[in-house]
Amino acid sequence: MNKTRWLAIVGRKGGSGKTACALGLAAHYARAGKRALLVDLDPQGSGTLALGADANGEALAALLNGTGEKVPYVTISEAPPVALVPGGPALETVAAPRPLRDALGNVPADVVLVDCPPGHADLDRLALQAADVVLACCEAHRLGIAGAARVLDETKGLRPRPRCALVLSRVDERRGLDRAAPDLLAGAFALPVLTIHQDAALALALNAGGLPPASGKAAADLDAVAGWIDKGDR
Amino acid sequence: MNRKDKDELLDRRKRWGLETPRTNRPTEKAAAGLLAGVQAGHAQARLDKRLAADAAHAGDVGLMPLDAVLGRVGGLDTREPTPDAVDTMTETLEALGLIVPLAVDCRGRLLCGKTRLLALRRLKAKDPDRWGKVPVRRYDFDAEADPARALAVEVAENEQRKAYTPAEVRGLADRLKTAGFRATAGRPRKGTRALLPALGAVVGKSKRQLLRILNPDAGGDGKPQPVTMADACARLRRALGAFDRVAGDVALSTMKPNERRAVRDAAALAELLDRITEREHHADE
Repeated sequence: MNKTRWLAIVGRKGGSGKTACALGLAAHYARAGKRALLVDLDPQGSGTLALGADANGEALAALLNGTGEKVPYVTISEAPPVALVPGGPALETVAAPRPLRDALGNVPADVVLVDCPPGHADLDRLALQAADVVLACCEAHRLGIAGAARVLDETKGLRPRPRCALVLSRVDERRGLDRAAPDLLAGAFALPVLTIHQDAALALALNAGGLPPASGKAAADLDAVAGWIDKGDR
Repeated sequence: MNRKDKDELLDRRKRWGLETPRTNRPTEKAAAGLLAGVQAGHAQARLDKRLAADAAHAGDVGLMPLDAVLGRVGGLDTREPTPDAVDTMTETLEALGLIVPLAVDCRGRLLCGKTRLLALRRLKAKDPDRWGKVPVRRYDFDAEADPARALAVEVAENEQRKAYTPAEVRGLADRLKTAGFRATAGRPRKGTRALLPALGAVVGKSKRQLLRILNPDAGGDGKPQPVTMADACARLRRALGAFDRVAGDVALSTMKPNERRAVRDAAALAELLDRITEREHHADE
């Protein structure tokens, strides 16, 4: 990877697994020796809270509003190298934001993961505009899928369109619906459908305020998601 | 349905190589729910786009000096068009003219159409009389003050290109052919102008989509699709499956004679398919 890759993790609906996916991928890339930067665009600051940082989002909001200059990097871990630009309620005050790449300038990272908020089309658009790759997260449920479809449709207007995939989160194959959903949705969206299985270890790690674990069901799935993302390098 | 009918039904499905139906079908209902979610999301996205376009207060299209069209705010293009894309666009514009106007903000800064703008500048350098003024849609907001709206317009403008009907695409293809563009297999020879990239630049469709429109009977590469015996068998089995979804829950004893005949024919077809599949399997060994 010779230039910074920007990933937008979107979903539009709340609780669709965006933050877990973003943190899991950040941990994956960092463990692979790449500098990962998580940009929390969520006014709820879920990613920021999960990493134990101060979730007010004021500095990022100021940057986007054009009133701030310093990017508020927070080092989460030196090794593996993970940094965070915290989000939080102040992001609700962003009215006419500067483009995200413009606001952040040259980022000291190999991979930037933009964790998008639920129900906030304008902030989603900022991330979509910046993204090389878009991952739309949802559970195998019609409400989540409607949110993912809504935000994926926005990418169709971007030229060239970023690479997009649907990420089904908290998949539990004991449920018939979860088994059927990947094929069904791959056909309906004409996009790759990637899955992240239900994994208590991932939920526990996020609850404990740390990076997701390197092993387990979800970790293996996240490796596969990263594999799909990295395929674009070749 | 009595026990005998049920057994006959199961036996029929088994002989046709179809899966035995599950006794409860929550998955089918739930699957319909998932697809309804996809449709609902698309509908909401369409509404989002319409609202965004309305909010952007699109102005009328008028002619504007090309030199007055400025680059995007801060020269900021998230993705720069490739030289190939600009070459193709230049050739296309030369043959067809500018069909979709550029979009600019209230200060003349580009909102949508970077590839077209670069191609137009090249053409103007060669022929300033023809390309000095170009059709432009002017929006009454400042992209610098409202970049989110600028992006909404870009998305909405680009989306509009999706609205070309197959007949319109074929009409544009004919015009390009008249101008010397050719649809050739593989890489075009030097000096030949390739039809599909030029057409794709105008209508915003992929090569595969264009081939499907221009040549509906062909495969993705434009050549007639080869059909293997296995493909044909699989297709027939799918057809049998569809037939079974209509007739499968009806017991033979309640059918009219012609319906029974259709079921028997389908059963004979299923047996034939089994024999073919078996033969192919042995041939593979």
